[in-house]
Amino acid sequence: MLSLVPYVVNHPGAELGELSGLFGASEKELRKDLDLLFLTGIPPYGPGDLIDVEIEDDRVWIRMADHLKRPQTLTLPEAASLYVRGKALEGTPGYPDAPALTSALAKIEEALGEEALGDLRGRVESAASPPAGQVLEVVWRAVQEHEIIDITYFAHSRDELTQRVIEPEKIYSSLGHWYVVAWDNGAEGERLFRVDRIRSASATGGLFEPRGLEGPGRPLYSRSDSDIHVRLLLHPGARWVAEYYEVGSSIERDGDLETVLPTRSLAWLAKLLVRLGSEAEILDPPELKRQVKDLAQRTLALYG
Amino acid sequence: MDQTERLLDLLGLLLDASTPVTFDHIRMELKDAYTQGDVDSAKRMFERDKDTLRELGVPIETTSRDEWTDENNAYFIPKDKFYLPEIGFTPDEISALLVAATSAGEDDFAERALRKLLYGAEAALLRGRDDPLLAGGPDLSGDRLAAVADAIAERRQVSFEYMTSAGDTSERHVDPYSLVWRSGHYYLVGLDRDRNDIRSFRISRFASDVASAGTASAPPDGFSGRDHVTGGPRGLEGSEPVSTRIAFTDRVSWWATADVQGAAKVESADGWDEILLPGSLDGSFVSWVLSFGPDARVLEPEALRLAVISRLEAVLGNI
Repeated sequence: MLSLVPYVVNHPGAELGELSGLFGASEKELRKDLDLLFLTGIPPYGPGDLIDVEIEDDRVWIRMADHLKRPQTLTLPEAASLYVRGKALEGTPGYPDAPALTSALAKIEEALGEEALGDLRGRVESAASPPAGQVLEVVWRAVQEHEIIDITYFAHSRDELTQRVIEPEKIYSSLGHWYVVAWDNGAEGERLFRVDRIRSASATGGLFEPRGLEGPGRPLYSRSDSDIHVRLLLHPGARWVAEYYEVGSSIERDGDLETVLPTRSLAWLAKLLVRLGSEAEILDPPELKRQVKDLAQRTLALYG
Repeated sequence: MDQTERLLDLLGLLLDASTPVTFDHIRMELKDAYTQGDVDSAKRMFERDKDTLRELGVPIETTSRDEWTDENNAYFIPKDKFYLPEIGFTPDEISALLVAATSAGEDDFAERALRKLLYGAEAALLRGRDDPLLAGGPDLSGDRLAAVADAIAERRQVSFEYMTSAGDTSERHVDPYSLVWRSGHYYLVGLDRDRNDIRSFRISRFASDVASAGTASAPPDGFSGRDHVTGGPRGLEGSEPVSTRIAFTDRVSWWATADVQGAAKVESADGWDEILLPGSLDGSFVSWVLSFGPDARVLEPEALRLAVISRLEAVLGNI
């Protein structure tokens, strides 16, 4: 409520619906809060001393609230939380609005000063990130403008470059990579693409109608009944696999971790196992062992 | 009288008062608030309300009102500590903050901060995108990150259980210097007191909550946290960069160069592109090279070539 009042005082006639979205409260809750506010004020509580709240046609006016015209300053947890999120976004490679974010955070830091931030000033950093590539720019614009685009994509699961026509609806970053959620016109289905595996992207000139595909928060891997359940024994040096990928049940075995990894294709998993060297053992299925062996032999042959 | 109503009245009175006010004065002014029952229970209710306001971040301070007593019996709110300072944001900055604050996460502190900051913003700007741009997870919110930020702000030591990438867990005692975001993770950089060395710790590998203790040391002059969370490509931590020469097939070479800053193509022949790129002799770099399978072949340095070969032989021996 203490931040609602300054907003409404500065936006006379603000719509209840808009306020509800901004302040994360239902219209009913807002009305209740505003009714309460109506009863308060500053002494001596004559007719001219009470805060005047008016709600008409779902629009709100607040008058006589000079002492609440400006909001309360940020608490340390509020400032810190905004900071860590802001710096994370700023440091995500290729985020196009990074400069605006950098200057906004600098202004907050400057204005709040040591009083609110203590020694935290200047101590949340993002590692230098490369500028946006041309592909990310094209994809980004396509998401915003609903443009249908042509892409050349390196499908890790199939280990090949593929041509696709996609309708990109959502873009977000997770674990340092950009992902785009799109409708794949050729496959006639929803697909998730990692932007750094798109070799090239260009607008087709066509526009699409968004279908409301789910954005961030969706699992990076969607399970299906046809998944192959691979059972692995991870030694300490390979434990990160269980942190990075979405694994099923895991059991501790004397410092090792036995885990089940559901997958749609064995091809990418064979690559992963070659990378892990002797840090991981395949328990099941035998077909995976065969593929890993084949891949390792073909790679080793390059050095023969 | 409802507590919220009472709190708003109390806040209004304190913000409006030009000099510190005593409880007697408050009681007289706020007619319906603290008049029920005896003075003692009214005073107790006032104390509770005062604590509640303080928990909400309202800086209520006390002072002695008259010269006959040392008792701090008068209350006031320093305006410069209470109000948000004026900050002039550009429209672009407002929308960038909006996106940052709504990044996925479990706590709503950032959104609360934003609600205060945007009081003067043009309403049209605030109807921007509704989707967060960062998929959150424990690295962007949660008590451990917040506790570390808090400890840095107040320069307090922290201790926590930490699991290394190799799976070993031990208790660490650290003077926290900074938080660094890199490749999708936050790292705490600080002085590891047991090792007497500056180390980095990935927040998502903390295996316990963060306990805080005494005063921490200040970072050395010219300290920069990001210098301690570096390495070659692929999220290496603290390994020495070496210059490498690797041949990639032309179907993946674009990806290798896009992935690594400072990579440069030097030659192309027979469907292979030779690329110079900064790497390391670290196991993680060997792993990155092998992620290309038979599409990548190390040419130089010899030590890296041998490391790749021995990893492949280990795989075959393991099957």
